[in-house]
Amino acid sequence: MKEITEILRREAARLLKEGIEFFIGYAAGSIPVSARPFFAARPEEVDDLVFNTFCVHNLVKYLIRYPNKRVAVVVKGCDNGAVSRLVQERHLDRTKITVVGVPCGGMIDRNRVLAELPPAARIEAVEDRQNALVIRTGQGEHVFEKKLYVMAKCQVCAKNNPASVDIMLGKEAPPVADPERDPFKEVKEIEALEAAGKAAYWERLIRRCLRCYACRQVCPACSCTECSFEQAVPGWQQGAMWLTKAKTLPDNFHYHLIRAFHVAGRCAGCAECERVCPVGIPLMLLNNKLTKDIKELFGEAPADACGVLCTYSPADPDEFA
Amino acid sequence: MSVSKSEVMEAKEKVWQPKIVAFLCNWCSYAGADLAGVSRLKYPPNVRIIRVPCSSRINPQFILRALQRGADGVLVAGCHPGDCHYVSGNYFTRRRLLLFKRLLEYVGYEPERLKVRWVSAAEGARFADTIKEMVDELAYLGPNIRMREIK
Repeated sequence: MKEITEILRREAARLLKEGIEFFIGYAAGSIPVSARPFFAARPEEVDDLVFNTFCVHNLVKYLIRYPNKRVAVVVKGCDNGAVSRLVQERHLDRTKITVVGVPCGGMIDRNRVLAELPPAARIEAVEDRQNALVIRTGQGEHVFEKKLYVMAKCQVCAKNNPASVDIMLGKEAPPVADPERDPFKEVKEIEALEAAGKAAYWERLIRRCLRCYACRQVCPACSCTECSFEQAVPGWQQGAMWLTKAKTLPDNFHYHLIRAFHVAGRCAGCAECERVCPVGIPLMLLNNKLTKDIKELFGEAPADACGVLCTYSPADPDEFA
Repeated sequence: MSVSKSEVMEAKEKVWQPKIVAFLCNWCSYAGADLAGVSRLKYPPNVRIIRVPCSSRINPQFILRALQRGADGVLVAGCHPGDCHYVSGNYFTRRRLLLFKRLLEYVGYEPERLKVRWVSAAEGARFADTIKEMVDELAYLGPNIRMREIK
């Protein structure tokens, strides 16, 4: 990982000298097991850039804020889908942005690692050794086998080397996915429940929602200028809105089902919604359900720019006849 | 004679009847329902019809909101695929609702709560049968309580 960071800094410095206005990448976070988004605007700032197994964020959505600037952005394989999504929906001009791809060996699920460290252990250093992650704390060294601690999305990832990027850094990473793991395993488990069991399962999760809309903000597919849940209407028209501002179970359900449905067929599976959720709702269970059904019902049809729901085929299954 | 509040509630519950919201497309299904009426076909009065220009006008949020705000079942009816007045509207509806129905079932609605049917303007009997069938199924399931605010 040291090596890739070196290459990243070199490329970033080169791009900034060549007239890119800024370079969006990652810098070390406030604690050793984290990273944060970082904007480098001058060649001398590139020394803060890093790439390691904690660079979980999808940086692509930042690009929407700078439609008329020449910006470079670091993407992992799973973030790459967001670039094509936003370009297809004409939020981005592909000619203005420079996409810098990094091979990804899987991102570590930080919460699971932290949960296994002794309580109140102060992390002194993190070392990345090919297949293992070594965390040194005051109480000694802890070795984590990477394969077991990668995020759920990495366990089924088939695109850890981003395709069709402008600049690819380093050499290709070996596949991270566990070939034996079924990406829809959890979805199938829920599908097997009785209606009442499903309702109870979802009610427990959805009740927790604070409706902070972080899942929407972070989602590359949720980039409408005006959201159907938050329209700019005067107070006396608020009653005509889909949702009230209050946090109630019916409104939470309404929000989550429709959010998932609005991104159906356009979700790239980056799982950012799930990562940013402050109350830990497994939102990918909803997105994956739709992905699975789309695959089963409509096959892997050449997708329309706005997703499978913007198109049709007379040969679609008809169970309503 | 005065009755206590609970007695009123009890009486109300005894006569609980399923409430169906039906979204009918203007060109086929609404005319089909009309035909059921003028042909004097008998069907249960539990349905509230909302006429829409085309079945593709139906936003999935309409269905969800109907279910959350008092409907026990929702019927969506449109022209048969290929017969849409707007050429392709109901093909989009079909895709959308195939997916949305599965999503609703996934979060705990019974499959009977949402029914989609193609009813042409000549199929008054089919409309009446659909309503009869739905009322029977919903009466068996009981009131819809999912995702409702319990007050």
